[in-house]
Amino acid sequence: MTDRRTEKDVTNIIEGLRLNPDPRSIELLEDVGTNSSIDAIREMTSCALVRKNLHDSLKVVITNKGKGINDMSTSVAMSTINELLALQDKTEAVKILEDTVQMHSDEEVRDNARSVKALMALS
Amino acid sequence: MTDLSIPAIRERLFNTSKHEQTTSRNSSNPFAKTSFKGNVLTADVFESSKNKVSEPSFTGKLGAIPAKSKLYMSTIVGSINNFGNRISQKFHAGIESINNFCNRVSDSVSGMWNTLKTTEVKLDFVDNFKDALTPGIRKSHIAKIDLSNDELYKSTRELFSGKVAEWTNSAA
Repeated sequence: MTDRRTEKDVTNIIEGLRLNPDPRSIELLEDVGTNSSIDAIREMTSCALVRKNLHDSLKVVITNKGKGINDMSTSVAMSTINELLALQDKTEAVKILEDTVQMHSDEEVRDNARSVKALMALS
Repeated sequence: MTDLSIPAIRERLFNTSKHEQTTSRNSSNPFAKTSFKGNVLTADVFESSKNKVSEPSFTGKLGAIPAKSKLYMSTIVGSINNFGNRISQKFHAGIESINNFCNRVSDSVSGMWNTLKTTEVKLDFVDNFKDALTPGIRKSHIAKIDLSNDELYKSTRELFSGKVAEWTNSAA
């Protein structure tokens, strides 16, 4: 069983990096958080990147195969989509989704982006 | 001369068949002799002239009660019977409801006991208090780190990687 202290520390690091305005915080979250084998860590990291609501952070969870909305884990993908739908300002997210639908090389990523874009238009 | 004493009058009134022929009537009715016209009918006309008081009666004193009163008494007895039946039914219903209540209480207690056995009791406030006292990583501290500084960036990355690895190892 996971130590409660460890869980809390990881959660605090991810939340701290979300609040950190430095662009390198996105790099840290992408490199360490989204590549973790633990679903809960990937989920927390994806949500933190969406809540940053920056071009680079949103690009990580929308355009990368196996991360964010394209994650193999349903719970991670759904949590990321839910976080995108909850955004107050969706302008940047919609722009990245449109670019992904038009220009991404992978068909699956394009389809996912199209679906999320349709959901965001309805919300 | 006509005897007007009470026993004589009673004799004439109650033994009509004996005195019918001597009774003078001014009636043209051909059935006069077989009718009761001219005679006083009482409730005891069709009863035997034998004295019943001397006969043994299981009702005892009740035997002397008039027929009308007997009707009342029978009604009262019937009511008592009904009342008794109702009391009995209520009593049985009460016993059954007590049984049901006891069974329900028993079920609830055993259910509660089973729930308690399968429930993990956690005192979250104790854990939170412990966490607040023990030094740990604070998000406010991470949020203020200057990541443009390579040294700080490296240490933060190591800290994050180490904690994720710790979680991964404990989950495996």
